[in-house]
Amino acid sequence: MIDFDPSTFGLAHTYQKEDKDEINTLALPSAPQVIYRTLNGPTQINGGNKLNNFKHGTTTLGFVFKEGILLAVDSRASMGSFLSSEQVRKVIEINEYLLGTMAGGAADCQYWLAYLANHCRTYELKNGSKLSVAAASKFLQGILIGYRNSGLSMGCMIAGTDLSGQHLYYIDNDGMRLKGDIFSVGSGSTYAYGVLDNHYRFDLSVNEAVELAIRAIYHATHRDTASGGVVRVYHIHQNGWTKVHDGIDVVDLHYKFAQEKGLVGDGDEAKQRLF
Amino acid sequence: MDSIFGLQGSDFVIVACDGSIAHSILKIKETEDKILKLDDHKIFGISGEGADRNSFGELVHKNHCLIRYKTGGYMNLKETAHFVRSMYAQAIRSRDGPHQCNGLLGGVDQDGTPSLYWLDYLGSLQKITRGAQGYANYFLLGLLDNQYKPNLTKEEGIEIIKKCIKELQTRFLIAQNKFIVKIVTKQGIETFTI
Repeated sequence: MIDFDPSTFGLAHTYQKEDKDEINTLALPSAPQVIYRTLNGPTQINGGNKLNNFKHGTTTLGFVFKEGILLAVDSRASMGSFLSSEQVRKVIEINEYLLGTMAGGAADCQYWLAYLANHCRTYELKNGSKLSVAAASKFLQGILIGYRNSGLSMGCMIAGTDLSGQHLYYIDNDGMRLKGDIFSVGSGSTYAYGVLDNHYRFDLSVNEAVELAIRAIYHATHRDTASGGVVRVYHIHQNGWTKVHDGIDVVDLHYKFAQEKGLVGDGDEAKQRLF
Repeated sequence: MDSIFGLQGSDFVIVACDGSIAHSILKIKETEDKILKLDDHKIFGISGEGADRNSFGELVHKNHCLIRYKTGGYMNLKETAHFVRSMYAQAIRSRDGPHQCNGLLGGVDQDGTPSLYWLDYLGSLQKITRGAQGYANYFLLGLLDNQYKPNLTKEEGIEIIKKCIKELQTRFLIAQNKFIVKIVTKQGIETFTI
């Protein structure tokens, strides 16, 4: 590990040596840490106290392809080791042309996406035309920047269609807003990225894209304990959005994909069979 | 973990940035353009985490536009650099704290003089001929000092930037595959991805 003297960057007051090992369990050199001043309480590092430290226990993904955008989510909600629900709806239907995905604190996502829906409708009534996806996501970003120190926990994707096409944005509670072609958010996102990055092409057909999205979510739910339940898939195209699948059980998918490989799906592939 | 670096030549300024946005161990995006275009002859490469880079960049861009409208339409590089510095400085002891991002501001004035300025999150400002922000300093300053000579041509400048990119890809622990390079000359801004 490279050990930097705090004064070399002139960042003596933000680089806290004693927290370095606690936060970086992978031995990467740590970037200077940002200190947030919270509304109530002393200055805290990296998100604050345990009450605010939500883990984004979910897998959501979205990607842009030639036929529009595909969003796929799992449906598990966990409170520590207790599964509170296997049937959560993590895609929030903001209006007929905008969808939002939920990761992090459910209440935060639901409330602020509903607030965004309200704002979109008001804009449409006042101005006679629909709010663009860029503007809607920017509006949400503005809110989240304002609440930056308050312990909100949201890692959501805004996807929708407007006059300039279909667009996908990633927005999180730090106030970061990114436009992109492939995003996956949540604790299972790394597993989903593995499958997505490997098979993604811009010129996928709708069926191929849906199949890819389902597989990516399945693989994430298989390996990530905080993701599971059912897979829900939405397709956004120039006329709005369509719910392609309302709930495919990932357990069924597990055995289906195992059968495709000629396996049973009991996890005993490595076991040596004597007869 | 952003790398922003740049150099100034006889009649041009180059600022380059890596394209990656990272979130703990994940690289969420690889093609993010961190160099903001302030006007047709000024670019501002910003290095910082999360929302700060984006929001400060927008703040600078819009306020720059506003001041230009108020004062007649054009600000030269020196005025712009001091203006950006003052935006940093005003924030230092504000309620939300300093803007957590550093920058490299470069451009060419109307008479063709190039300049490059190094700006810090606390409001430091220095006019430089070559420099970098962040960890890139450690890897590139030696190389930039070694390769720099007065009155570089545009082609020589691009070659040096390519060597810098190669050095980062060889020695920096964080894999940075895509770099976005912007060159400002009297004719305008050219962008390309390496």
